[in-house]
Amino acid sequence: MTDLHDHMALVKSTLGNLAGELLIENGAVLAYVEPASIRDALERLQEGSDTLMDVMSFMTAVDYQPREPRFEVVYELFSTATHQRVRVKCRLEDTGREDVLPEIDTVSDIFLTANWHERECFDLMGIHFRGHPDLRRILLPEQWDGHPLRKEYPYDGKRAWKPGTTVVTSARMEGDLGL
Amino acid sequence: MSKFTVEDQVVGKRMVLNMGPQHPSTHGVLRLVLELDGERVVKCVPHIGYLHTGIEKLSEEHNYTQNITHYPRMDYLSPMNNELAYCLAVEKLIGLEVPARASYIRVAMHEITRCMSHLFWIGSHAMDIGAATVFLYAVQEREMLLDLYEMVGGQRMMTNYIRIGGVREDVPEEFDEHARKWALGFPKLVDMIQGLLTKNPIWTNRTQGIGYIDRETCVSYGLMGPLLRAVGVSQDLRKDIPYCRYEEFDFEVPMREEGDIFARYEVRLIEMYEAAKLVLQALDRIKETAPGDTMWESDHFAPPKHSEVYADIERNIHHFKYWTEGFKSPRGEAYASVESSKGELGFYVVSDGGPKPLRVKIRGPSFVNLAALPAMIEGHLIADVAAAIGSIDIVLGEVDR
Repeated sequence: MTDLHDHMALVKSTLGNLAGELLIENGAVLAYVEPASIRDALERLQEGSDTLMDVMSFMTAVDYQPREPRFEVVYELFSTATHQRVRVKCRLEDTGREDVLPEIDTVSDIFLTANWHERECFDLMGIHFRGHPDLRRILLPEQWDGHPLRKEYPYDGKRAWKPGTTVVTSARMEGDLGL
Repeated sequence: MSKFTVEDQVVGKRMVLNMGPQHPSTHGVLRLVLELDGERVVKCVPHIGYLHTGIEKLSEEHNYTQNITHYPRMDYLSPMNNELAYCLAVEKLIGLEVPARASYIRVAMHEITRCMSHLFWIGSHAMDIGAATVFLYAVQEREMLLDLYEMVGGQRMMTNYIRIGGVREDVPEEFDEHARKWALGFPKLVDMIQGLLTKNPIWTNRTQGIGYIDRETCVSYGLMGPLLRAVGVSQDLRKDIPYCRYEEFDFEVPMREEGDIFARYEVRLIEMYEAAKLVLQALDRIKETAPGDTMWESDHFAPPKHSEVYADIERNIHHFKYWTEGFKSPRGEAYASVESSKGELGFYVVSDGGPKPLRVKIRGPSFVNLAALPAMIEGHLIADVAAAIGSIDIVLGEVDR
C-alpha cells in the first residue's frame, strides 16, 4: 500500500489546475475543489491512470452554520484497482434567501450511484443539483416542508404539514409515481 | 423508454402495478411501482423512506457513546457490524489504538454477525422463491448465534457491546467453548443448504441468468460486497483496507464471473464457510492474549475501570464526566468502513470539537445496492422481481435510516 503522501501527490497531479487545498487528515487524503469544476475534477479522478477512482462510496453535504461558506459537499471515491481513497470537498455558499436553494452540478451521469445520493442530499439538506434527471425527495414524503438536516431545523421536529392541510388534500398531493 | 401515458393504460398495453410497502417479498417496507407489459417489467421505480427515523439528525444530538445505541437498529439483522463501523470511524477521528484482545473479539463478533445476516438472507431469499424449508433450518442455526450474542452482550440483538476504544467488557469463559462448538458444526449446515438448493432444477431455473448487470455498471452503481464479487471484481475491504487486524488472519475471498442471482448465492455461501474458519482463528488468538485487556486506557476518551471508580477521586470525576457529558473529541473528520455482509458499510463522522458529532453520514450498502434494482429487473418477468430483491439482500432499516 503506497504511502498517503505519495497518493496525495498523485491526486494533485491528476487534478492539475483544479486542485485547491490538499491535506491528509485522520488517514485520508482530502482535496478541496471549486463547486463550478466538480464535474471535471471527478472525471479526471475517474479516468486518471494514476488514480482510477471507479467507485463513489458516498456523497453528502455538511452544514457548518454559522461559518461562511455554509455547506461543504463531500464526495468519497474509492479505487478497486489501487485500493486507495480520496475525499473531494466543495465549499458551497448559501444563497441567503429561504426560497432559493444553493446549487451545484450533478455528477449522476459520471457515477450512477450519485443519483440517489444527490436526491437524499436535496431532500435532507436542501441543495439543488443542476441537471439531475429526477430530483425529488427520496426519504421524506413529497409534501414535506423543510430540510431536516440543516442546523436551523429543530431537533424535535416541527409540523409536517403546511397549516390547513387535511387528510384528503394530502392524499391528492401524492400523485407522482415517478414513471 | 417512452413515458407512461394514460392512453397506454386505457388501451390495455401497459399496466401499473404497485408492489406496495406491505408485501412479504420486499423484505421490509419497500414500495415498487412496476410498469408492466403483460408479465414483463418495463419500468420499475422504487419508493423508499417508509422506515426513515432520522438517525443522522438524532446522532447530532447525542454524544459519541450514546450514538452507538442508534446504529445496531439500522441493519437489524447484523447489529454488531454497524456498531463496529461507527466505533472504527470515531477511533480514527480521535486516534485511538484498540488493544489486541479487543480487536480479536471484534473480529469474532464481526464474522458471527456475517453468518447471522447470511443465514437470514438465505432463509428469506429461498422462501420468496418457494423453498420454504431452508428458512426453518437457517433460523434454527441462527438461534445458536443469538445465544452467543446474549452470552457476550447481554441481549439477543441490539447489544451495544462494541464501544469506542474496545469492547464493553471481556467475553465470558463459556464463550470460547460454545463458539467453537458452533463453528465446527456450521459447515455441515451450509452443506445441507447447498444440498437443498444448488443442484435443484427449480432453484437454478429461477436464479441463473437473471438479475445480471455488467461489470462497469456495477462499479458505477457503487455496488460493493457480494454483488461486486459475483461479477468478477476481487474486492473485499478486509483485504483491501484491513481493519481490526484482519491482515493477521487467513481467509479467501470468493469470486464468480456470471453476475446473476445464482452467482451471488454461491459467493455468499462460500463467505459463510470462510466466516466459520475466521471465528476459529479469532478464538485461538483471543486465548493467546491477556484476559481483561479489552478497552483502550485513556484519561479522557475511555471510561475508567469500574473497580477503580470508587477507590480514587480522579477516577470518580472522570467516570461522572464521561457518562454525563461525554468526551470532547478533537476537531476534524474521519471515514471508516467495514466489509459488512451486504457490502461496504461506512460512517463519516465530522467533529467540531465538542462531545456531540457535528454530522454523521451513514453509507448504508442496502441504500446504494437498491438503486441498482431497476437495472436488474427491467426486461424480466414479474416473478423475477422477488428473486432479484432477495439477491441484493436489503434491510430497509439501512436503506432508510
